[in-house]
Amino acid sequence: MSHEYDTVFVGAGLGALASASLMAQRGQKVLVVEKHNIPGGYASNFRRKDFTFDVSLHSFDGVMRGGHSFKVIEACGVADKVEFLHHPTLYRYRADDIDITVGHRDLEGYKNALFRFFPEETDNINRLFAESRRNYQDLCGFLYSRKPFWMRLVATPMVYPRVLRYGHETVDAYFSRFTANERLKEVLSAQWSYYGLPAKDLAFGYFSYPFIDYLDHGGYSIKGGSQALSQALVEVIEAHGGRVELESAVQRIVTSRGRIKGVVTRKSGEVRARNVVANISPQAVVALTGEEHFAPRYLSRLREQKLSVSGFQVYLGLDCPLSELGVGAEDYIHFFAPPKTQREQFEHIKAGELHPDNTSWSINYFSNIDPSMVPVGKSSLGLFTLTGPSEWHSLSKLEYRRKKQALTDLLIDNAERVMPGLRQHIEVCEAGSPRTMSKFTQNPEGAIYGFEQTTRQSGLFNRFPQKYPVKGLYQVGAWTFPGAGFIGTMLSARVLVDRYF
Amino acid sequence: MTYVVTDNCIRCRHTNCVDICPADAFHLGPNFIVINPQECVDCGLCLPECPEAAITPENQLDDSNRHFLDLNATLAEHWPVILQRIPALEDHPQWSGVPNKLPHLIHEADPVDPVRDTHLAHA
Ligand SMILES: Cc1cc2nc3c(=O)[nH]c(=O)nc-3n(C[C@H](O)[C@H](O)[C@H](O)COP(=O)(O)OP(=O)(O)OC[C@H]3O[C@@H](n4cnc5c(N)ncnc54)[C@H](O)[C@@H]3O)c2cc1C
Ligand code: SF4
Ligand code: SF4
Repeated sequence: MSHEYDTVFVGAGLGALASASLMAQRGQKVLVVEKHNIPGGYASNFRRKDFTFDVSLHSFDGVMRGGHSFKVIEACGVADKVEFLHHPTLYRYRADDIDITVGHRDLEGYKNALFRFFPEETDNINRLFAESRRNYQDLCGFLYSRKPFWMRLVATPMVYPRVLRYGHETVDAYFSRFTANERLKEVLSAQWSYYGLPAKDLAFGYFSYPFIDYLDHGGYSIKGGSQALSQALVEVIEAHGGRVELESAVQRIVTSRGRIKGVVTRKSGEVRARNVVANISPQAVVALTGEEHFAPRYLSRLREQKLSVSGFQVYLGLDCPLSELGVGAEDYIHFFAPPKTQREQFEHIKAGELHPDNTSWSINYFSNIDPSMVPVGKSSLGLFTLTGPSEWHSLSKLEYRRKKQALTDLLIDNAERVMPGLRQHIEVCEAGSPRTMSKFTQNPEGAIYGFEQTTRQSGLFNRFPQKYPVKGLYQVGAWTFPGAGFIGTMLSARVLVDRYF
Repeated sequence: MTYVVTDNCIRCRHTNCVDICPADAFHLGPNFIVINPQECVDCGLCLPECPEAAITPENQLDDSNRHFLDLNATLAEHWPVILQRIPALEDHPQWSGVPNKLPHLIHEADPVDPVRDTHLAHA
């Protein structure tokens, strides 16, 4: 059977679903092809017994009505189809020397807490946040402007000067403009695990948007889990004549004389299309298209790109309410930081050595936000740490099982120390390793954030481009600009459509 | 719900489906493989891996193949768990796509040798 589509999407992650919804609403004929039996990629749910877990979402920044980030949700047509639940506290940072709770939309309260621990830094902290907010405004001006994309690019140095000024420095370098206090800089980047790099290596251009968006507009979960968002996007696509084909991997991207001709899918065979937008890793795109269609220089540049780190998450379903284990109703995310610098921790993480005293980890009290995902009287939580791909992918299945169990036990032991008695209440325990991440999304080495967000690989000009050298072939999602994250991938959709479609 | 291996697998048994399963739900027989419904977590990852299109979600079985649901459950109790992919049966090309192979099914499991059979889990 042969079809005609304007655009075919490879993979149904958030990047693809968001762009397909934007294009379908503009009257384009779209097809989204997904290997898995559910849409969403990392933005999906799974069930164990009576518990439903969100695969990935810890915190969605800024999606409050009237906020900048919510504009993307509106543009995709799902504003009235999904409900966002705000987190009563953004996070709590727990280290030996410092314990700070950041409230919902309470930058002033956060600053006051910082003043208590760093009294001599008061002025610096004030200046740092004032400038970070101005920078956020510049970024929003650029991202959400109604002007054509090229016009925004030309106007950037004049109208949005900070985007260029700070875009190419690290988070640490940016903070250093205001303070020399190393400890303060680490505390300010408490959420570094969301970006997959220590502040000293992480691009400020990528970090700066969610940094302020979380503080000023809050952190959110999606009622019913992120599957609800993915499903809502599918509904919009279908309501506008588009199609989502599940359980049907794209087996080949077909080109003819340097331009896209279509794809071959498992279910439909050859499908003709004018454009193909890939939501999978660029390495996989090249493999599906055939290396011979790319210049050697392009391929070697691609091979030089560094992958982001992977992660390990333990999902626990408990037979009692969280309050029984001493967890307050206001608690949501707790970051536990050992007395090591982020860079020292990252060395351990990359080597796959996880140790309660060497690497940071976090707890998410999931059911405190959405009790509808667990049975009445029960609860759920997640334990998370970054981990390098190290040998996860090469182990035999038996060794792999042992390693996975060992890390699961280590995280539960950690949690047991802050929630005594936890173990006796575990009814469901499931772990997601780098190998699991690869299985579900085909992302190489279980990378959870696409390419690493170093200054060399970040920003409008340095990020892996949305346009391939093959005519009609594009990239969307975590691998390209701006990068990973719920808002990151949905923004990448918006930029793609604004710029090229 | 569970996923179910059906007729197409018999005498082919590529075992392409095994490595991807996060739940170690596959059990190996001499010329067929089955999914243990107690272990399967319905992730659906195995379905596209099978070159014979032998795997079906329970809710998509019809009258012609519904009996495979019970067959999977029963055989899973007798056959060892397979953890790692092994080569397909030698004469599989001959049997690929041949309909109604159930009469060829060998129920009796091969004896497990703990030294040789490293692809199997030993209870
Ligand atoms: C554990 C974890 C926690 C996270 N926490 C947060 C958080 O708290 N906040 C936040 O904002 N972000 C978070 N993220 C990041 C965020 O989830 C991702 O960046 C985002 O969902 C990636 O979307 P994507 O569009 O790049 O596509 P992906 O989710 O990578 O999806 C790609 C899709 O392509 C499909 N596919 C692959 N190959 C093929 C093929 N050949 N044919 C058809 N389909 C194919 C895959 O099955 C998959 O569905 C987290 C990620 C993880 C893993
Ligand atoms: S891949 Fe298909 S044919 Fe091969 S063992 Fe699995 S179910 Fe049977
Ligand atoms: S559906 Fe998932 S859990 Fe069930 S047998 Fe297939 S791969 Fe294993």
